[in-house]
Amino acid sequence: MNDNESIGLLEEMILLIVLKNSDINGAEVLRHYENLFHRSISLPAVIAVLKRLEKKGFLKSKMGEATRERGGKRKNLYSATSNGFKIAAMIQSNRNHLWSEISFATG
Amino acid sequence: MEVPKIKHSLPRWAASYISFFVSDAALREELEGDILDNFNWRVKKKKPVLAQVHLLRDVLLSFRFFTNSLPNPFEIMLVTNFLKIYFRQISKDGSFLLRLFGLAVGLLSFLSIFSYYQFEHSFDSYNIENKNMYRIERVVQQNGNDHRMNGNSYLLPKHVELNVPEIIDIAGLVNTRYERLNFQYPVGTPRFGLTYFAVDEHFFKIFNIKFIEGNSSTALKDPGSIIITKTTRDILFNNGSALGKSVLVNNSNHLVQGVIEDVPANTHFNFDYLITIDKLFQSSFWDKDRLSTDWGYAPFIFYYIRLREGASPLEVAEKLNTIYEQQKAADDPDQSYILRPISDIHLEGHTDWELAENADAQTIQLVLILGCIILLLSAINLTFVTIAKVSYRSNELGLRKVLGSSGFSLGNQMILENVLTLITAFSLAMVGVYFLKLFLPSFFSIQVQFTELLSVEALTISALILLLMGIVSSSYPIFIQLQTQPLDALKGKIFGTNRIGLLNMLVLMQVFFSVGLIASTFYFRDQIHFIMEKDPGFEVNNVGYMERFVGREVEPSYDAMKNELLSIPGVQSVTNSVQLPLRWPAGHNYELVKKGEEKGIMTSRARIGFDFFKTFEVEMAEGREFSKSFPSDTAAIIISASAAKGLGLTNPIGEVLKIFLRGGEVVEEKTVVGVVNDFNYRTLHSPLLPHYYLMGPNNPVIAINFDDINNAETLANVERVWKKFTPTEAFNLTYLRDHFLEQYKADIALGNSIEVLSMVMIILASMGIFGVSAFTAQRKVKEISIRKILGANPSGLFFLQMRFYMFLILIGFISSILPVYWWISKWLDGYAYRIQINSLNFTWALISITLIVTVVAGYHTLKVALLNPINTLKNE
Repeated sequence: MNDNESIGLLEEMILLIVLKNSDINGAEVLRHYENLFHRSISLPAVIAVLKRLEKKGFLKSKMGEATRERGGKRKNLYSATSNGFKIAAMIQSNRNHLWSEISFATG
Repeated sequence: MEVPKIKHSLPRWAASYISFFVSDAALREELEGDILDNFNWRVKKKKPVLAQVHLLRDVLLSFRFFTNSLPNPFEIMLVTNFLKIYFRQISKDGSFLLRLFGLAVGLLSFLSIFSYYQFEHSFDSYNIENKNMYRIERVVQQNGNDHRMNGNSYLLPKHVELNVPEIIDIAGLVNTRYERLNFQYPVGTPRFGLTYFAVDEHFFKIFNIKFIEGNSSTALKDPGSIIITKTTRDILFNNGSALGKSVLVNNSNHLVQGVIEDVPANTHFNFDYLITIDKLFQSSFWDKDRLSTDWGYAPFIFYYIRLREGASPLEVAEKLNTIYEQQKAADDPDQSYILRPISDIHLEGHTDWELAENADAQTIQLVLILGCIILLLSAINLTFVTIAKVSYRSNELGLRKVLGSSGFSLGNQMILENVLTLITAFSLAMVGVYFLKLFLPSFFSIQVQFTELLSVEALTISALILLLMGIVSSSYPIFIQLQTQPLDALKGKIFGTNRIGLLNMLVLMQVFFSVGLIASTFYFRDQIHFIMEKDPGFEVNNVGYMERFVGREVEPSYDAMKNELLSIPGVQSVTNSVQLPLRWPAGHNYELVKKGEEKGIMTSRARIGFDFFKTFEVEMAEGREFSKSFPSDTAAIIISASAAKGLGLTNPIGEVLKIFLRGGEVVEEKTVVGVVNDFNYRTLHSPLLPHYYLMGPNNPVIAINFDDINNAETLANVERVWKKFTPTEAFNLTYLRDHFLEQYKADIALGNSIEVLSMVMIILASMGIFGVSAFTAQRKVKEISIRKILGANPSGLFFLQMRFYMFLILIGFISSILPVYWWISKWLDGYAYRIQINSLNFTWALISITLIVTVVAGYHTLKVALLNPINTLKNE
């Protein structure tokens, strides 16, 4: 696995959020995240992660429509690529594999 | 707290904050939109405070995209962009290379002058305890005149050891600068031209010269030892070891007890070998017993001392005075001691007898000032060019501002451009220094060590200069662009009329310095020419001299040798003497008194043989010169016309004169047999003073007057005769002319350097004026076009423009007259024989600068005057 394919926990979570909801912008990712984890996160942090994932090829983006709520600024809509799906699936299967070998007694 | 409502745009501060840190437009849009989106969402969820807090946090944390969005490629883009604009500017600017060259020449001049200055101020600094080292000098009061002398009694060290505990070390040296010894190695092979000093065994305790062979503490213990320098060893012993070898000096064997490094060039003396003072006294006709008992006998030893840390030189001098008061004979003159720091000798020594030529501190300072002026002119030129370019680039500035670039961007660009230009020029200057060092020493006869350029001081100064020039030349662009409005800049209104005054000041300064230097160069040249061409009163061109070693007995064969020399065709006259003209001491230590009178005059003297004045072609005013046919001439004296006048002798021949050397003791009583016309036996720096001649008992110098000194056949015959009569010594015919020129070496070097510097100055000034005229002409294009349309003719327009430059020249010229007059007369005061400052040279300077300005400034003025108004006006 080379450097471009490595992925952190926050990146994984945000990737999963985008996988679940395609054509989603940064603000919406943040809302999903906060609803899901009940934890506050700054928008620049979210956008930075989105950009990073996009650069790694797990996400793609397109410019969307502008609304009054956004002060006339257009949305940048992200959706996952097939690579993004593959890496999320691979991480999950690795995790499952590990979990299957953990004895419940140690927990 | 006010309840926030839904916002439709980010606050201004937030927008500008984000736009400052986030340069990517798409990212900025996304970020701003999302921040607002979230804010409104929270407001809708009735969490207004949280919304505010999150907004604040989200905006502030946006700075992370600053670092993230400035990866290396972006920086590279900035640099390449800067370089692209820079090279575009350069290639558009035809005079750039010229300007770069000018800047480099200016820096080069300054750097070389600075390193020369540093060299001259570094003399004797290699000695470790330099600051505690002094030379003992004394000021002798004799007949109301002060004489500064170096020589001291042989007995001084003994008394110092007893009475002056502050003096840790004292070392003696006898100045034998003009005396030759018969040095042979191997025996039978005489070596001429080796210079030496006689020193005592403490010499190396004072001077830290490194030993290559031998040991500094024992090397001079034995009177028969000799110390040679590495160069001498390499010549004599073919680079082999010399320690313990025996060389013949004046027919006496000396053992090489040490080989030392060559003395650094920045030492106030230089020699090829050293012998001991004791040996010198043994081999000469000195009375050994009197030496060790009589304080006033042979007082010519130079003493160098090292003081204890913290000792006061004034107190030590006082103690030395006390010693003198106790030791002196009743009739010895009054005197006081001075301790001269050893590092001051080279610049401030100038006593009657120095070990080598001293330098003139004032001259060196003068040259440094010139260097600074040149540097200043370079800086002015750079500043001006920057100012002019700001205005040429006003469109660029306006566009940059309109497109929203920050106010500093053009300033930064120009500062960086200046810095880059400066660094390039500086590198060029360093390369120049490297090449200069190949030919500079021969041109200026200055032994400058250019390694000094890499010293900490030189590098610091250079860095400071670069910084200063960078700041000065860049301050204006910054200033102007902070003030300029984009619209004005686009219209070209960047350069208000008040700035023109500044440019005129620049031109004025260039003219001022150029006129000053051109005029000075002319005066220097005139003075040096005057001195070289002035008849010194004796024959210089066709006289050669040969030196036999000092300390021998009178050669009975001299008469036979003289006769044989005279029989050579082409030899006019032959004489022998102790002193040569040009080599006499500056001091006038002998008092001549007419018999029966109380008070006489101070004079200097020389010891000569027969036919001396005939050989040097000096006319006798009265009487005759010493002659073989008058055996009584051993008691005779010849005085100069000025001495006869000073003594008030109306009928001098046959008068008896008394000669006093020390106070009142009668040394000799002599009868006048002749009065000789005065001639300048020393350089024309010093005035002609009365002098007299006695017959020398022992005349080592043989001088010959030739028909033509360059006739090879005659010279070959002279050499043959020399070898016949003096087989053990090397033939060494020296042209008196060379010796004569040698005296003016420093003057010629100064003249040369001033000439070169004024050339540099003229080049820099021309470039400056060229730039100003190009700029002014450019600004007047519209005015001239309109004038032309209204019927003005080109020549009228040309003269209209040039009139202004002429006005500036006139002002610059007039204001430079007084300062130049002042400093030239100050410089000329150093010569006893000097030219008068006439107006001619100023006229020449005015004419030259007018011509230069006409050509340089006329080029652009003419171009503008000849242009077709339609082409220039249709731009609008």
